[in-house]
Amino acid sequence: MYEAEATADMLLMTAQSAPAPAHREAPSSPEALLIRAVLAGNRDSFASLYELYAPMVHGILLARVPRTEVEDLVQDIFLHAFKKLATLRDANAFGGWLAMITRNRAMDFHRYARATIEVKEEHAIGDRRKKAKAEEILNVIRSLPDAYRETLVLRLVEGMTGPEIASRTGLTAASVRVNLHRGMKLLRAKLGMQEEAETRA
Amino acid sequence: MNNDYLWDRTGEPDAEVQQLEDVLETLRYQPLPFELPAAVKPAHRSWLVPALAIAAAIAFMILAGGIWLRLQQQSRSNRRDLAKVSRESRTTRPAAPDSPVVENVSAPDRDPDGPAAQRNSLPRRNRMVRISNRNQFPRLRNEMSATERVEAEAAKDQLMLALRVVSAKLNLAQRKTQSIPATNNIRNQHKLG
Repeated sequence: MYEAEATADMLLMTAQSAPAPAHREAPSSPEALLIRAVLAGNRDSFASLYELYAPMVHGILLARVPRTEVEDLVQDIFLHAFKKLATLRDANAFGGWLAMITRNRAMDFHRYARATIEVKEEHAIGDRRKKAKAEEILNVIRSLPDAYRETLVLRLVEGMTGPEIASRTGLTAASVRVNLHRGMKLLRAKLGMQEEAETRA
Repeated sequence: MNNDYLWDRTGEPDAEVQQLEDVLETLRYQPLPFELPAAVKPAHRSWLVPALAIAAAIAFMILAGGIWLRLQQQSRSNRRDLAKVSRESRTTRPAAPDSPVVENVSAPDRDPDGPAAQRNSLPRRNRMVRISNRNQFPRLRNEMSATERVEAEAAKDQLMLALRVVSAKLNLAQRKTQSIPATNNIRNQHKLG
């Protein structure tokens, strides 16, 4: 179900930037080679895919679901992706396909989830303060529009660069750049950073 | 503020972005081992569902085509029957075509040679000819010209007129038997055509 929705969404989102069908089948990216290996029966290759894409899946989930649920969902999503890997038509589009599965799973989580309370973890006082501040900022990011919050979490939390975000999620570099800059502008406004900078000046 | 730093961490670092990165990295993904259960295998792409969908579509098209053909044949046979009726009415037309049709069709009690009687009184050879014509319907239908069609329409009109006359007479008889005064025939002439 998720992979079908993901494929449909991807066709809509990447229609302009999609390569010609003749080039699609060529396993040009390392991900495509890994996928071929997994489908040929090499299960270890999937671990490499997991290492490459787990931060992206983690970031997308973090922008949408409670933090305590993220770890379990990451595992679920990769397990699901492994089972349905044969339905992926273009091996080079694995990142976009996986991103869409993740977004759909996050939506399903909100659709079916019961009310949950985030459990506070025990940390040192300094860590606790930093984590609380991080949670606070994350909540502000989550209040931004979908496209901005996902890109900002991948950039600021997961530490991915703009080109990495584009290549992993299957979005165009231009749209990632726009989302980053507009999202950052909104975030600054919400956190009052611009006002602080202006008062300092 | 340096946009390149936000984009790919090149150029002059942006203090605010760096501050956010520093705080938010506490939420960053911590690598966890991923172990696939031994029983789980990637499912192979199934061609059954698309094949079934194609087969169902073809079956539906055949069914729809069959129904359409059947309807076409029915309408053709209806037209054939109409042609047959008009042809028969022409062949059984009385010898004097100028005499009023009302006399032939209506009042069977007064006319001992009604249509049924006429049909029975036809020579056997003539009846055989009419029966053998049934096998020639396609040819007849194809050969039905514009004039024949006009004749068929005229025959139909005559038949309708005769039926109206019969109906009016029956009404009159009924009213007489029930002692109801006769309606003004002049006023109701439109009913007689």
